[in-house]
Amino acid sequence: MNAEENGCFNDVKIINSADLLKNPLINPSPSDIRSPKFKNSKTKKVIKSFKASALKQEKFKALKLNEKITNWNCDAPPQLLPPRKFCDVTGLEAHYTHPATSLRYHNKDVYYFIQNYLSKNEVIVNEYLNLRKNKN
Amino acid sequence: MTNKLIVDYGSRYIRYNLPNSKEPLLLDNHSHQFEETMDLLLHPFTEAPSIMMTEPFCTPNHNRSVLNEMLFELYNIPRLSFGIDSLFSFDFNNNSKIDSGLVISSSFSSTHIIPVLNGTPMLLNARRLNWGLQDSIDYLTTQTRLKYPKINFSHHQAEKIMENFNKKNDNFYYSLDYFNDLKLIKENPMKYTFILQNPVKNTSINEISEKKRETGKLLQEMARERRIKKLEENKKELAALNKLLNLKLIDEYRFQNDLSKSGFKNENELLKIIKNMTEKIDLSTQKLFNPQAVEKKEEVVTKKYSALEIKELNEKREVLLEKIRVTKRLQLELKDKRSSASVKRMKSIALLSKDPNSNINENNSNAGMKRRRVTEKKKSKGEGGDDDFGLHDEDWAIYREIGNPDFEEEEEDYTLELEKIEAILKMEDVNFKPIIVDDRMVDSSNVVFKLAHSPNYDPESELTLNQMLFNIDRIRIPEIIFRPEIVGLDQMGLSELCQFILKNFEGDKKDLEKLTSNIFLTGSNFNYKYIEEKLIDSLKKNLHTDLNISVKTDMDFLNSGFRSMLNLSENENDAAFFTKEDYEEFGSSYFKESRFSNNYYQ
Repeated sequence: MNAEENGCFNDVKIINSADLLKNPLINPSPSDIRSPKFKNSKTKKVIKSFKASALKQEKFKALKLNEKITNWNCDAPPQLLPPRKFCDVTGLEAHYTHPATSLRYHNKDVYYFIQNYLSKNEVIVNEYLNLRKNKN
Repeated sequence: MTNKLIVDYGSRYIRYNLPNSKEPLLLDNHSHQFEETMDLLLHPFTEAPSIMMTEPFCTPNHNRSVLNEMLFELYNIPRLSFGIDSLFSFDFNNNSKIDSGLVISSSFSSTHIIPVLNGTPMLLNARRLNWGLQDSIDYLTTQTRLKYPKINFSHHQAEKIMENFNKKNDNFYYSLDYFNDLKLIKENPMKYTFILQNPVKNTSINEISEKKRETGKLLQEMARERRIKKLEENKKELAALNKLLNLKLIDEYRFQNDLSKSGFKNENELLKIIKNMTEKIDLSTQKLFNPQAVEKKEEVVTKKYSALEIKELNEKREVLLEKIRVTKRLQLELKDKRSSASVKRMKSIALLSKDPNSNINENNSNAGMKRRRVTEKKKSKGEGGDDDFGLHDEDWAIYREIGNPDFEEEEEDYTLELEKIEAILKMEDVNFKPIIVDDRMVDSSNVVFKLAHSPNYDPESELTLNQMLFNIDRIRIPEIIFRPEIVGLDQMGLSELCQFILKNFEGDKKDLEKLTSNIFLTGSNFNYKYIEEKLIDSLKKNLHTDLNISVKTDMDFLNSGFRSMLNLSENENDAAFFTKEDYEEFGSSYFKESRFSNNYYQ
């Protein structure tokens, strides 16, 4: 297959499935397998968060000798590593969030608990969320 | 020799000494009024002593100026000296001449990391984390109060649980692999919990049962009296009827008259009724006065259920439970406009408007086809463009078909059957576990229930209602220092902070090794198990492999600072005392720097 016929760039490999059966790739990389039209939407998010953390870190560089260390200077810098999310109700890992209350939950059991009981009590929901707020 | 007052002024406890003594005394720092505590401390001194005090890392100048003003002008103290408590305790723990190390102190109010090289603290590289023991106690109280809404869990109880003056307190510990530990706790919670039992008054339980018994007895007595009264009435009636009968022998004509008056048609009726009455009276006398001699009815044969039948019953029960769940879910979904169940319903309603006798193709699926044809017809005739829905009364009958399906009857049927099956299973099946619902409307199969209640939970027994389980909080609260994102703090965790400080450290590799080989931990927030292994683990992964890393904890975190301050105060050259004249000359926030104190900036 000619690259120009396909409408793609010249650098990209185009693999035929029949050839793959004869000579299988031992350590395939994503570029070998994915089609060139595929665009990963998650890279944008990763780049965004990385830029934001780099901006934050600029304030908190190491102090030089001429500078002072005072109460407003001595705090620890913000995190570089991406923060992990934990369930508000149980404390286990949380991969999902409840849209109406913005609570994080671990699995469907906790979801049903939030849906049937907590979403009717705004006061309790706010108390759960306040545990996650920065008081300073 | 002037007496000196040495005060280790912490945010939770104050350690001080009496005149001419070297032993520290403990004082709780409840009161936020500084004057009260100073009055207490200075009272036993005859003359105003020179004071050596601790202050936190990076105190602002304004706070120190207020302190200086009060001490110099109100209490007339001749000399003052300030220092950081963690550096003092670092000094006390170095019996052999170790001058450098990384001092990590996590106390009641906050934690800070200070690198020390060859005796001098490098304060420009030191950093502070805004989390301390006070914050973790607050966090514990709010979490347990949310978990158990009906139990009164006090702040004081949380303090007692987290108290850890000796390291044998197993209540909280650091986990080396946090996510793995979370999984293990989820699978087998009872292995990792400890239960806190609030006291329950036993008398209240007994009182309730006794009251019930008393009321039952009263009712029984009342019923018996009623029955006796009825017996007597029946006997009277019998006597009257027998009189009637006896009339027959005396005067037949009168007998027939009285019979018809009292409502009997025949003699036979009278006899029947007399027979019934006598039987009733016999039975009731036997029951009331001779209850043991009552004839028993035929014994109900107690059926013994075999294992197969129990299995079938269990399966039936599960099927019924699923049906109930499905009906509940359907009910909820139909309320939501956009769910698939309500969309289906709207489609079925739209299909009703189709005429079954029409010749429309089904593929068209145009619900308003009939309406359009009708309107077109009418338009061609010259009338208005309306279909005649509503002109006839029978048209409105369609709303009865469309209306929301009633799930309550189905649910009732299912629940009745369930109750019958469960009643049998309770007696027969040993492994039968009824579904329990707790304070927060959570089922016993739910993760939230399993982490909050033990398997013995019974909503009727007050003992289990007042139990609190601590399983995930045992590792979560010590972990907050390493992952402040749990609480929403946007700061680096401890291990990351150490790496940050060591990276920005300008010096040789030898100096770096001096720091890492003498890591020193103080403070009341570090006194839980496995802290040393955790730090070593996290640092080994992220620093150079050649570096030698070793961690040491304080021997006596309460009093070590005080003791080194004592030793210092006797050495006039090193102890950085400054006098009232310095205060007046250089300004109110002035203090003399030393190798234990903050830096002074104007």
